[in-house]
Amino acid sequence: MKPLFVLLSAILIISGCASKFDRNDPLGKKSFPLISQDSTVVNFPQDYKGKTMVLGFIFTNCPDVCPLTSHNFQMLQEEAKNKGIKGVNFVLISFDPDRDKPWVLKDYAKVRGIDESNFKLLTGDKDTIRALMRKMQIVAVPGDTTKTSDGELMYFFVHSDKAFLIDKDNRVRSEYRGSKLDIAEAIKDLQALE
Amino acid sequence: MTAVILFLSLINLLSPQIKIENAWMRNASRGTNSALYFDINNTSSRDDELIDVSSDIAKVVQIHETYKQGENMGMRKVDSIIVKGKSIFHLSPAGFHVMVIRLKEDIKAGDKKEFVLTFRHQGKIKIKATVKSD
Repeated sequence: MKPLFVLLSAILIISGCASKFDRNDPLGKKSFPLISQDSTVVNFPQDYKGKTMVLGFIFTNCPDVCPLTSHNFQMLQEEAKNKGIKGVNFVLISFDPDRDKPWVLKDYAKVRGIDESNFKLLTGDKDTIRALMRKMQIVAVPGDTTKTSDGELMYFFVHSDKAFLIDKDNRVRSEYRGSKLDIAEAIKDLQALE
Repeated sequence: MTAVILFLSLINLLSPQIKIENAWMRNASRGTNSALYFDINNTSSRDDELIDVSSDIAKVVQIHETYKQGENMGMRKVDSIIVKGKSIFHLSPAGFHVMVIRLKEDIKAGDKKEFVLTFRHQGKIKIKATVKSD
């Protein structure tokens, strides 16, 4: 009985040391052709193979929650740079492709002062975005609406608040809340994947 | 009666019972949306109610709250915010906020933008919110 207990303990310790991550889910071979804020085609996730990626989902008409996610990504980007962590890409995908065209994303990046050197904002055609959302289990359903004085119908989404850490082999390793991202914790995770 | 109302209004003007502190909003470009945040410090013992916010810088200005629905986040319009007597109500990211929809101009970090808040008892209060890139 005692040797069995020792063996089980050893297995638990070894497996605990082997990975700090709770997930190891491959994104699969399916490619999602998306378009960046610079109107370049990005094949997601294949184009990020060999690099670590922090991935989130937003819509640019969101005035409250999504800017928190964007801001957290910017802070993480800056902190990763300060810590000398290399080979990380930051990706925000819009789940509102009808309104978030590449030039809208470009303007969003510009006005928010995003360092675009390793930070992409992506959109795509509706079907591709929907398929990708299903794959990543992202929910975004139209919720609150309001009409402007000139008759424009504004809609907002009830949406997921998820962000993901994806390793160099395109495997999801961790999941965070985008608007409440713990920068220190995410930095440790990035260092563990270096 | 009119004299009493005038007198009370004068007292309100001279010593406001509602103080607006830490007003700020997010930078955003023309045609997009932003959010305004501030603290409402009700120094009187009487409850008051924020019933309207207006500004010339956007097509629509509304009081909203962000709420959690399971694991998802959503926003909805609210008619007003009640501020209890002798309390501070915080409008903050991912909570209550003022939606500033379809900006008529670019708003950049460091700018100051004017809003008019209307309270049921205190009446109108003009504020200037500092634009930040948070």
